[in-house]
Amino acid sequence: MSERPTKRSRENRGELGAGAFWVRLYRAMLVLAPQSFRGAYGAAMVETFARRAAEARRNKRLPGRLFFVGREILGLALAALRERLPGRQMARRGEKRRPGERLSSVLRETRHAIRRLAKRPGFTAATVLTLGLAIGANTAVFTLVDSVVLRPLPYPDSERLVWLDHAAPGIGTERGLDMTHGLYELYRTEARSFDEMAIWVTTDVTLTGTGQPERLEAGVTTASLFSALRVPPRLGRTLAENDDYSDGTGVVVISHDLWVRRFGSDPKVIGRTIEANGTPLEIVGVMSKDFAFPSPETKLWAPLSYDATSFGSFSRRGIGRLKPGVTAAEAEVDLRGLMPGLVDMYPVDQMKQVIEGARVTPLVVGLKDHVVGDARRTLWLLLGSVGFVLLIACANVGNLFLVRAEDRAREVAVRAALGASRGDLVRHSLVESTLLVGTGALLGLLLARWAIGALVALGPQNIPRLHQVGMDAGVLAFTLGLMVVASLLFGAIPVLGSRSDLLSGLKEGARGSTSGRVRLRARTALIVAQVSLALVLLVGAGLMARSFWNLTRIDPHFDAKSVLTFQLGLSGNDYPDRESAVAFHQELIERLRSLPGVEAVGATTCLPLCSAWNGSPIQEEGYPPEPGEVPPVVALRRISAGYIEALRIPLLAGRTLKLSDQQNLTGAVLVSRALAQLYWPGLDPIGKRIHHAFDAEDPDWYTIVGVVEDTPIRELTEAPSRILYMPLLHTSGGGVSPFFMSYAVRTSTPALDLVPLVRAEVASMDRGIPIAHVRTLGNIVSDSTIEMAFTMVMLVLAASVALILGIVGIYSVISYMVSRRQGEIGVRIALGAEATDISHMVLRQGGIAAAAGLFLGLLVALGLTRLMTALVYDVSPTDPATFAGVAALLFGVALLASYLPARRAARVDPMEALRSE
Amino acid sequence: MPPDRPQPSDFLPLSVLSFHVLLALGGGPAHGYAVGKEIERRSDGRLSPTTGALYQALKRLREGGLIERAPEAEADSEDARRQYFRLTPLGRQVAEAEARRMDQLVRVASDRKLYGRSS
Repeated sequence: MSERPTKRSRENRGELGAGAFWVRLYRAMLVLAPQSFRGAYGAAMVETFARRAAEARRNKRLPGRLFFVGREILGLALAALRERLPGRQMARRGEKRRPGERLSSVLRETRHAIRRLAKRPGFTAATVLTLGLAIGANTAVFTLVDSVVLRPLPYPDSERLVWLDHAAPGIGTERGLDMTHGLYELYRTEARSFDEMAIWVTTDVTLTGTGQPERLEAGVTTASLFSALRVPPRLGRTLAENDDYSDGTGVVVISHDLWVRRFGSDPKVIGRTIEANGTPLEIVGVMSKDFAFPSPETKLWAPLSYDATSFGSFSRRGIGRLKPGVTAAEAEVDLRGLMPGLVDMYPVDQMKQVIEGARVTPLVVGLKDHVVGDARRTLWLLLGSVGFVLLIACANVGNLFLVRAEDRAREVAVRAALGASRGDLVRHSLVESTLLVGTGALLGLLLARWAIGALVALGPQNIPRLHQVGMDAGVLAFTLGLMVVASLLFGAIPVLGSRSDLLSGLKEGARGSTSGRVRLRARTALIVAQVSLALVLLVGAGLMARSFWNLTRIDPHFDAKSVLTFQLGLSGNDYPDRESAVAFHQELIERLRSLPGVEAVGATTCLPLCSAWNGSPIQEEGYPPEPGEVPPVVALRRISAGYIEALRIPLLAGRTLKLSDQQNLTGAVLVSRALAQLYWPGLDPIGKRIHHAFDAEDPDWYTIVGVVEDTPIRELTEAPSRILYMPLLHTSGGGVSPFFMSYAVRTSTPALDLVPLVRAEVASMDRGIPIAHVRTLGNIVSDSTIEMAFTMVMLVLAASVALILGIVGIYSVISYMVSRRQGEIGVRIALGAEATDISHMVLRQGGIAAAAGLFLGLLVALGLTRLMTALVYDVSPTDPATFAGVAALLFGVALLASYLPARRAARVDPMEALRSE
Repeated sequence: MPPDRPQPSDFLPLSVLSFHVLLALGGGPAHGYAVGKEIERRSDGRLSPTTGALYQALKRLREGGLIERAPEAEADSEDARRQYFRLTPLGRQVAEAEARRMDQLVRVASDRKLYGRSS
């Protein structure tokens, strides 16, 4: 049977656009049907549904389309159910038809329920909308959690993949030291826990040849990366072991995206050549569309070559595939046992000191844990928050059901009196609640789909695996689960409310009877629950808002307003030495400075918040390190003259770098405040001389000519970093080369307006150099806070919805209470109660419930906000001001919501009220 | 021992949807979507089965031996997922039997002046 989709049918599906979502949903829902039915007819059903959906899109307006989809999905669910019941053959004479009969009675019940609900549009709309919003929010956030945290990585046996990291307690580094090729050689040959191991480094390359020059990210990797991940190429081959040790040029594997964009999906692309940084590379393979390692931005993979006799620097990333049955902890023990052997492999004294002094220690963590990282906490917190919103919504809807149950008590009693069994009543009620919740869930799915699109587009791009986010069967199961629980809950309310004494409904007049009082108590309990849940959410949102406020008030020690930044890289072919590269940068800086509106221009190897450390240990003149001692590591930056001025980093002492420092190789350098304080606390560092530690070959001493303020390297909240600023041209650079530079252009006009002029200047100097990462410095700063901003916005949204639902809940319960007690109030007024007494009585009722909710909520919040410790900044998770402020706000709002019905109660006309008794 | 050959009368009365499916396939092999369309057209939109109900009916009719897959029509199809069905000889007999049964009913009804086709 040829039921595999053909290429053509896939294209047809693509044409449906937004309709494709429903087709996917339909296909996913087929899991409801038994395997035999699905296997035989599933593909054909999807095809039929897709054509009908396309037809509905053409011929129907939105409500009609929604009706179509709802009906089709209901039809599928019913068919699946019928298929799962026994005895579904073609009915022949004399055979029983029982399951069908039972089903048709359910269908009849459904029709009746629809009619009943249509008669109460207010109730129906309020229920469906409330549930739709809450289920939608939960589905959307659960989709994120599922895609980012729960789903395994898209590699076979991905739970065996681990990230290879190192700590160095000797220099205070807890993690993040990554790999060196020396360690790779050691582990690869000696470790027993691994099937495969790979290291790589990512770098930006300039692609020329066919089409426009373009900057993109390349993974320079050992061939074993592909076998460790177990991913086959789409075309050709992946890198091979003997590619590794060639001269590092020659072959390349390209991404699916690059293949489509630059080569028009040409199936004969293998063997063609592209030029990366001026080096021709032969394409040997194309990866499949979903291969995105190490990131979706990686567009090509080239072989990594290195000198196996040297130790290398900690600039390589590493992963491994564990042998079956080996845990990450066991692998870690295995690797730690190998460390002493390292000294024999690389008997260079100073290297030995680094290893032994820094006490480099292997760390092995699951690859997924590494990839997901801190996002896990944020996402679970969000799911918890929308879960609370769902609970509050359920409290509201439960309330509506209670009111309705009261209204229908008579009808239920009559039915019972006429012989309806308890089972009939339960089914009656369940069909209704399922219909309402089901419609709410459909609406929720629609909202969730829209919300996910918005979250992916607007959420922080540093949430890992964001490109993989999408609904799948797991998400549908989650929504279905919510739906079933909610349906049972609400379906049970009227039946439980009716209890054993069904006939009391007949007897009950307008006066509050015992069961009426029970329900009132139930509703008051709902207020308490709503207020307490809303309080917890508001406290969470308040803490995040304060954290964010604190974050925005951090002074990064540079002025991010109207500064344009961009990167460019010079290829080694056209600029063979540092002198030619620096000459290029110098000229470009001069040209940019003469552009209209430009106030200052500078270039650096790494802008603030660039996240690259480029560390190197340094020593002070006259203080050589003791044997075994590792001097402090500092971050190295090459900067052009004018860079400090362009960023307006405050100068604390001495002077900044001048053009002459670079031209005359004076050895003048700047240090950051933290570096100055570490070496010369309380002293004047100007004129002191420093030197790269362990670099006996490097005769250069640097002379400190100035001290500037600390600027952040990774994030605004980090402790001040020790940074050493060197001129662009200086023989020793600790591996920081001037070929790739980031530019900062301060303008008096809107920064982005300058982009075309900058491009033109660069092109007029060298047409083959593309500029990349064009953004304003302000964007860079706001991106560094986006994760907290995102968490805050989501929590504030959740808290706002909670607050609104809470107000509605309190208002409706108190109003209802007032209307039920109108007779009593009338009597009180007739007996001489003042209007204020009446309104106080009502207010007190609302106030007591709200106060109880606040108390409960405060206890819960105190317990839960501890989970937020790692997310907040510069505010205690039990911050009294936030707690008190939120409690006061909520109490005020609760009183306001009770005040309106209270005022109405006070205006009750006693005669009117008594007459209606 | 082979089971008794099913007789057309064993299947009567047919469900409304099953009968309509057989009628739709009376004109030759068709795929699921086309069967659905034909039923809608013939019933002036009064009968419009969901995709789920339609395929369930197709499955039951196929299991009962009234219809079968039509591989020669599938070979020409532009979409490999599409399944074509056609009547089996038994299916044709069942449809005829059902039509006859209905015709008898109609005649009884009109004899009793319950149906306005005065003869």
